[in-house]
Amino acid sequence: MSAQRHVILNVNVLDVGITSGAWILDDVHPHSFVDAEHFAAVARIAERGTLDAFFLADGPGFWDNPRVKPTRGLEPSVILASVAAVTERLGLIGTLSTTFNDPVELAERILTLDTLSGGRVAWNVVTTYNPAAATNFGLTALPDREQRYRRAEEFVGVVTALWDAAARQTNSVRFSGEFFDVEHTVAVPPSAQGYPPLVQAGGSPAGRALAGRTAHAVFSAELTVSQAVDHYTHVKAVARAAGRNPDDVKILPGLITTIGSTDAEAVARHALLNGPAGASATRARLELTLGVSLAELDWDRPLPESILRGPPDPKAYSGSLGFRESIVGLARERDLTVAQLVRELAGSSGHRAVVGTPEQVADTIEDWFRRGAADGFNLMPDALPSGLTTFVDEVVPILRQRGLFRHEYAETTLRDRLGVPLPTEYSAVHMISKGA
Amino acid sequence: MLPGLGDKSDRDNCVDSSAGFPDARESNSALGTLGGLRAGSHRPGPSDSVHAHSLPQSCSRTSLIAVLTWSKVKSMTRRQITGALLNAAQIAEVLDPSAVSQRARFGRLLDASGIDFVVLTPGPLDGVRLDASIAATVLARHTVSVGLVVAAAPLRDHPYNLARRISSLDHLSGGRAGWLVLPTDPAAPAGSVWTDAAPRDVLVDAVHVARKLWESWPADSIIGDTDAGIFTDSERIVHIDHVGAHSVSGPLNVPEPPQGKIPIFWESQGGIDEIADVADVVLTATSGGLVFDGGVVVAHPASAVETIEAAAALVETGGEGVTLRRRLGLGDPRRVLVGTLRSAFPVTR
Repeated sequence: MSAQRHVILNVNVLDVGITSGAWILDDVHPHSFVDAEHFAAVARIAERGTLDAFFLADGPGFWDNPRVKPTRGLEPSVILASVAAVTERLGLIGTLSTTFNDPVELAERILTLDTLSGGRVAWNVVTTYNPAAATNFGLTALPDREQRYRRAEEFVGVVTALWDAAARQTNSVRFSGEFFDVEHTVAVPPSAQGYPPLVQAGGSPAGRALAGRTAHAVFSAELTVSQAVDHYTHVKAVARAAGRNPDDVKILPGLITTIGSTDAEAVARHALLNGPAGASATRARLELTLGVSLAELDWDRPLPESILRGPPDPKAYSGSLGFRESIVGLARERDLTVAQLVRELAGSSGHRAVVGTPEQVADTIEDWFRRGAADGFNLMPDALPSGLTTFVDEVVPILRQRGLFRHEYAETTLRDRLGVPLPTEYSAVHMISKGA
Repeated sequence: MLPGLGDKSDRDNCVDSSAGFPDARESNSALGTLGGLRAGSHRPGPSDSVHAHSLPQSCSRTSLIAVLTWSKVKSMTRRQITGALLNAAQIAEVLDPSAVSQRARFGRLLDASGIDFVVLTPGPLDGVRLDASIAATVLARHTVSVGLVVAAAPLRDHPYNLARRISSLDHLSGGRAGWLVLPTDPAAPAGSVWTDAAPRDVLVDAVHVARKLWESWPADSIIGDTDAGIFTDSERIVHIDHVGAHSVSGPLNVPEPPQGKIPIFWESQGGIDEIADVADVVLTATSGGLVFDGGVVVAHPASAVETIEAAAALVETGGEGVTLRRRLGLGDPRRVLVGTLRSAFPVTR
């Protein structure tokens, strides 16, 4: 097989889109974020564009104040069940917390979803860092990161052992560990892909280590291609060191898109969707991070070298030097004007943003893919469904023309599409039974 | 006397005739037989109001567990409510991913049958198992009017997560969700993994938590005012600050479900019946089937299709309204969050 390597493209369905103004567009209404038809519409567009998967982020508690925009609300496994019923090939990736679920319950529920969808599910494993979630589960505070990751390792081990035993129809899993005592068989009818692959999203050293050892895909947040290359190389090295094929872990940074048929059209759409409040908040954050006022600068020219070099007044500087380095890297890498920089950082939470034409979006995707910064992307359209429609109608054909993306689905299951086969013999099962 | 819907005095005039039903088997709990749960201790008594019905032709080939209906003696004007119980094996058969077209056919059958709801159970104990909330959501996409009751135990499944998923189903199904609170979970033999409280307290408390959470983000606080740039009047979203068998601060990050309060079902166990006082619908096992004050739930050992056909044969007049609450004749839900409430997003003025 002349294995033409394709870009992996998921759509991160942040309800009606990532921008604060997404809910004001005419193709949605205030209840779209709880409407089955909205999610079905987005999923059908994604499937028309032969995207790899429909992804849902999540946490069991309010993420942010829904005063000015909808917030992640409906539970992901339920949305995915609804979406599974109206699609045939699209992958379905749900975020579920190891801190605020039970491994046996989760194993049974997600395998049910996997089976009923014909083997199209992946589980994005998170430990949840949102402190608002803890008090919904009888805790006064979140367990610290170290404890959350210890629980996550054990949790993932139990779930995978249960799934693996179910797929191979071996004996029930017996496990006794620090967090869980389990003796159980998951008797859900078999899934077409055996069981769901694992995705990991943590950017911390512990998260990257866990990802390299166990994940089949990693969602990351990268502003610059050089940062992305570093992260890519690191996770692949961890996978290799753990005795895995580095191809079995796919690196998928987020990519925010605002697309217009011309630059001016994209900029106008960006202004509409981010609003004056968004722009001033981004500007304030950028001034804090750079340690300068932007008022005296020419916004149509790149940042002066004197500012790029470091905070002009290091003693008065109160921002994050790490984040400053990323932003300076971004400005240098693409020679961005101040206006462009403010636009690309609008509400970006550290993800790369492209505000431009379909060609520019395709160029960024191709550049990152060819330079070893990404195996694909978790697309974050500015607004849904309109931003995804434009991506599918305008960017996907360019990527196909360049031989970077499929023309039609070849595989039925998500595991086959990602190229991450079931292990021939799952070593964790042995690890688990030793602990019993 | 069984707590349940409506006028309880109706029941006393009814006569038990199930004993003469030829195919009725000895069984104490329809869920115990079909749902994979432990058998209850209830046996039909003089106050149990059940009648055997003649069976639809398609059902008589197999031995029915029972088809029972409540005999209305006084209240002839009240519509009998009809449900059907499906176990995981039956659900798995109609939702078979290798025969997807039969899902739509089954969905049309469900809506056309005129039955008010279907109960999806995760068992039986020693056979095929499924998560009922996932299966119900798939079925929701293939149906438009039938109620979808999720049978689930709040033991490994934390009440916050369960309340959130069932509310999500209610949104995605346009107000058709219900919750049958299961008292046991074969995967949680020691009870709840989240609290050490007594088993019955866990169940009752989980229902209280769910109802409070469903009220914590008022539906009408979503105003979508594009001129003012205000999506939600978020100051009205409140913590529930629940302290009981579970401690749950809330709010739920899902707005109030379309039904306001999703109907809570409970199968009378004889043992843990404090929860009957908080349930909207109390099912009682008779010799193999389930009855409640106002209706019947048909269980059938053969296929899902035959079960629905058996239930359909008992439908006298169709239900009105699309929400499950309306079909069950439940009134407007009672508010459960009272007193001074703590805003989750206070506005400083």
